[in-house]
Amino acid sequence: MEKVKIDSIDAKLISLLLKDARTKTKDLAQVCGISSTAVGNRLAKLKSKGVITGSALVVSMSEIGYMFPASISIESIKQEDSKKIISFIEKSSGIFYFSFSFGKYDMQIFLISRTTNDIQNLKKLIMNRMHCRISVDLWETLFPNFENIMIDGALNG
Amino acid sequence: MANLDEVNLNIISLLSKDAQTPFYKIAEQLGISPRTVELRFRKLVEKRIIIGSTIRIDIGKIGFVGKSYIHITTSQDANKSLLNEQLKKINGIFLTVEIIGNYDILALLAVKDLASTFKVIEHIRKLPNVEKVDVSFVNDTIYPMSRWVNKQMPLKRTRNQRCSF
Repeated sequence: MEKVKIDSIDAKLISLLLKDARTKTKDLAQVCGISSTAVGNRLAKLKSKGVITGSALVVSMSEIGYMFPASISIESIKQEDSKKIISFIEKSSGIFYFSFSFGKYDMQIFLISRTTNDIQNLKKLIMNRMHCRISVDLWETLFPNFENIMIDGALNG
Repeated sequence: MANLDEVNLNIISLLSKDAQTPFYKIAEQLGISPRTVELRFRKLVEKRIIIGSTIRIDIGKIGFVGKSYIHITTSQDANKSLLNEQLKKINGIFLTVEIIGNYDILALLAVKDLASTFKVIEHIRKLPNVEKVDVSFVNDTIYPMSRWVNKQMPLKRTRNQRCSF
């Protein structure tokens, strides 16, 4: 993938917006020591180059009834089953992330549900549809702090 | 659990599509005043129903090739939260969570290259009370990982429940 060159002001803008996507342009300009127009230009460039791809709202899931975050890791998925599982996953609710991986597991699914039964049901559904090994882990915290993502560390590292 | 009315649900659902939508645009769509939207939003933040907002970035564009899931098994008498804190300090680890099931801790690592990843995993293996480390790699670089939330979970009201995704 082509790499986009970003300077320290871009990095600062990104880390400020990661903490609060609704930060006003005026405030961004002040913290970075550049003009509001320059902030607008830089953000437009970061968007057009595909560094910033969108925004997300962080909502307390427990407040709206989703009490059980969990991850499902799947081992030994057969090639022909992988398409089946995508179409199935796209239909089920509560899944907030999934991806294929290589290494110990072939696929990771992160979900959040109202009851532990929902997780159990999803596991059964997947197992009925294809031959694979599944392990389920319940998450201890209700929702990871995405607002605390350590992009600063990641950027400097 | 919070009891959310129609207006609050609509505000949350519009902001879920784009967290940077200006209040006046939300007001236009819902047929209420911008001031009301702002007050409602502030209330939701005060009550910690809305925790905040963040941008999605593609870390692939700034030098990362993907991320890796590190599933950790600890020894029986381990202090999990202490280990959690130690893991959080490692450069590149952007999420750690205590879990119950096959493993005890899940950590997510932004992967730059093989050598540095190798080093981090070796470092984790040597931490006290770490018994087993299982690693999987993903070439997906969108950050944070909640890219499915918006598509997958439209907020809507159902008869039996107060609100549901």
